[in-house]
Amino acid sequence: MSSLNEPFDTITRQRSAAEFGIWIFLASEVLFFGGLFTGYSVYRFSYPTGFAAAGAETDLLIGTANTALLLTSSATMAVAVWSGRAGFRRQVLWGLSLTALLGAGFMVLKAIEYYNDFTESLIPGSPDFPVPDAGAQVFFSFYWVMTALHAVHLTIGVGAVMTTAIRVWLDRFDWRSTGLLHVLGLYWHLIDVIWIVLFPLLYLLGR
Amino acid sequence: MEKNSHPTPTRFWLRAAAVWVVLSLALAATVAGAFLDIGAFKLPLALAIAAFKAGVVAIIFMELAKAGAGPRLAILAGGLWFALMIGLTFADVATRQHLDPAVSSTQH
Amino acid sequence: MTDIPQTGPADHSYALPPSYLGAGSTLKSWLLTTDHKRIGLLYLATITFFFFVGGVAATLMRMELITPAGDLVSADTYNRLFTLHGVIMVWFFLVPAIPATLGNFIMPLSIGARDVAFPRLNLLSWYLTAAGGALALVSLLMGGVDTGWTFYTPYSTLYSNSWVTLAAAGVFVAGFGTIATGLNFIVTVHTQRTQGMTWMRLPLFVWSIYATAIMMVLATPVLAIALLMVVAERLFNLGLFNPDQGGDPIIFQHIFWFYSHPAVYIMILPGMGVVTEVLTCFGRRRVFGYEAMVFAILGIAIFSFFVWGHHMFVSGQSTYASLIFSLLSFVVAVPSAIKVFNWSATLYGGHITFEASMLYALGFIGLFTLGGLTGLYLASIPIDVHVTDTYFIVAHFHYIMVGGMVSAFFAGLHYWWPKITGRTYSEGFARLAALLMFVGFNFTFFPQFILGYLGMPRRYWSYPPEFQILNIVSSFGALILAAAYLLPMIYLGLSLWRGRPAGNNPWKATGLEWATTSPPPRDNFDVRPVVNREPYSYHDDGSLPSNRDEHEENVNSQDSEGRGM
Repeated sequence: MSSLNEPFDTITRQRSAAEFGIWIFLASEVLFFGGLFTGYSVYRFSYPTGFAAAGAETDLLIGTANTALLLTSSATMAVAVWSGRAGFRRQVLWGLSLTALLGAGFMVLKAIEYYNDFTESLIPGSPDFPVPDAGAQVFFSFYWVMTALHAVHLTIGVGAVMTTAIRVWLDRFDWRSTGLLHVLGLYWHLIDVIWIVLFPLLYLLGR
Repeated sequence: MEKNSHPTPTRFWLRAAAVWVVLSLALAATVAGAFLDIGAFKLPLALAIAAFKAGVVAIIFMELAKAGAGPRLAILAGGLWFALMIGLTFADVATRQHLDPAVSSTQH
Repeated sequence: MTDIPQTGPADHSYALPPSYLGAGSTLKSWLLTTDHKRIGLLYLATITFFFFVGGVAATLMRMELITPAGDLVSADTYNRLFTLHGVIMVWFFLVPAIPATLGNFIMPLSIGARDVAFPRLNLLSWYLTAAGGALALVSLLMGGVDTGWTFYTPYSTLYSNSWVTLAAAGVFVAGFGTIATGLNFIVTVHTQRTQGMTWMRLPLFVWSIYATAIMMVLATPVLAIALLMVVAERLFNLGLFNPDQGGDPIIFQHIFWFYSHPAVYIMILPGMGVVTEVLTCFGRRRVFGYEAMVFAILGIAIFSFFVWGHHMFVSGQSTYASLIFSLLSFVVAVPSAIKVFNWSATLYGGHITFEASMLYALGFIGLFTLGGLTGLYLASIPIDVHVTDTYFIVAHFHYIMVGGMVSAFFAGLHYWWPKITGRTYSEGFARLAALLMFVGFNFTFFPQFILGYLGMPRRYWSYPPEFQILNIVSSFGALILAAAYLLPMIYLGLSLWRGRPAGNNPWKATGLEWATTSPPPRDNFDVRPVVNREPYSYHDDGSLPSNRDEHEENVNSQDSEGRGM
């Protein structure tokens, strides 16, 4: 369990390299979701009324609750990262556990919402699709792809946070000085940021 | 983390809670704003609040304020390139000419 | 594959110094390695395999096109052949070719590093690339894809009955390998440069790999999302691009080309870096205008993202957008032209010798220039509208991709082969292959410029009889080209057993990779080198270039003191 890995001479350099690396990854994630945001913007520009009519069909209550859950999880994650640097093991474990729990809560609510969407036939191409306006089906196409892709990221995030929590608990890696908690935190916060942008686009139109 | 004070677990929790309160207020504001009768300004308002929230998370939680040049450049490039993609795509979409249906139907 | 070198035979005069190759000879020692040099060789074996798979498809197409009638394969098979050729060549040969093989092997050596910044991530990149390639191959074995490598909607989402989802999944997975490689290289160049290796002392090969890595990170995720949207629409009947539900297929083209135009430069920029190394070495000249070259490389990396709409002049996009994209496309030619001028100026007054890698590099300059200039034709809307989807386009991008990039790849492979394997190859055969490649390439693709200008459309398996003569010339050239590609397999393969030990610096080149043994030890350098000179110090400023014998003493004296640049 050495904290210094192969090509690096100092732990400081290794830590800043890991941080730089994850930021580059986050930049690529911005462009990954950016393709979807570009498509969304184009169609929102073409079909303002259809998007408003379709946007009114999403579940504002669950959407808002989920936003609150993710914002809270970012706060608990930040506590875990700060505590990790200061060496407060108990606080790290609390922070990570709460984060994973809040993320899991998000997914439970999202699953309920998906189920309701199905029963309301909010599925593009479905014969019972309830909104007749042009562009409404495009809106829901983006709704499904965007939220599903976000959910995939969140699932990976919850898994990574739980794994890290167990590894901290077992003292399996040097969580005080490697900066890996910060790297994990950056990924988690990005998922939150993406949801922060998705929320007004998907839940606040046409209210 | 403030360099001049000794870090304690309580300080971390209080600090995170303070940011959390700001974020929650912004969330409440954006939901309320969605029901205001301001027509075309709804979406810009909602996106502005989203940008504010994202900025708070990035600067405080993601510690962008303390990050080095590399991370700043990386995320700046990500943002600029996204702006480029959306901007040049709109160079097409926003200026596209549509054939008058009367003209296209006479060709058949 | 013959690309993975074995340790030398028992004959002592042929013995190599202890090296990374001796660190293990089991399959496991290769498949679980984190050594950037071994990973580079894993990539080399992978891309060689895919190069020949894609090559077989091209050969079948050229055979079909010998006669005007569609007689060898059916139209449907022909569609699947050109799609296979494009998908395999673009994503499983051209994109990884130089960055992931030579870049992986040489770049850390060139900056005096022990390894890339994230060695395990580097191995993961290879596994993702190989897994993506495997998926693409499976889609081929199941019956192939008929959309063309561009996966255009709505054909790919609504109509095609081929294995679009599987092939797209392969490219998607390999894309994350590319992103990881790019990320790794950026951080490596930032954090692993040895003492004294300042940014403005980086060899231009490293600069080009660095710029390529930036483009990989910024462009590839957009390809990933474009393909994901195609697959989502295909599987779940979503209306992302489907006009029936209000979608716009042209939006797919925007998102796709946002990746795929920069991807052209992802493929060619590393080649430009290789050519710079080779030209300076065999011209015995300091590179002309080092700073201008650096800014040209970065300029290409940035401006390549501004021009994607020139692929869409006839798609129905707005005329105003076409005007903007046309103008921007002319702008991106400027840094490329700067590079060509600087290469020419570098050679001026040099003591030029014509080793095989130099022949490849010189071929690159000529063919790249032709490809680049015809690119300017295509940037102007009236000409583009005339030749869109004709063989003019095919000829144009093959001059860049094959004439340019593949020539550069072979230049680099021959240049660094003694460093990679520790052995020399047959220079005579190598020169013959280089000449054959240049001649065969021009026979294959120059007639296609004429065919395209006369109006022969691409992607058809039959054509009017008046085009037959030029098509026969083209197919004949392809035969020469195939021989030129097979030849290196033989003499490079033989060199692994029969080649003499190359010594540390057979070309008397500058660059830190030549300061260590050939092949390099597991940790690259016994003593971490320190750099105290500008790159390409083949001669002192203002003096005439030294010829190679005079230079030898100079180089050796640097080696003994732990090496400067």
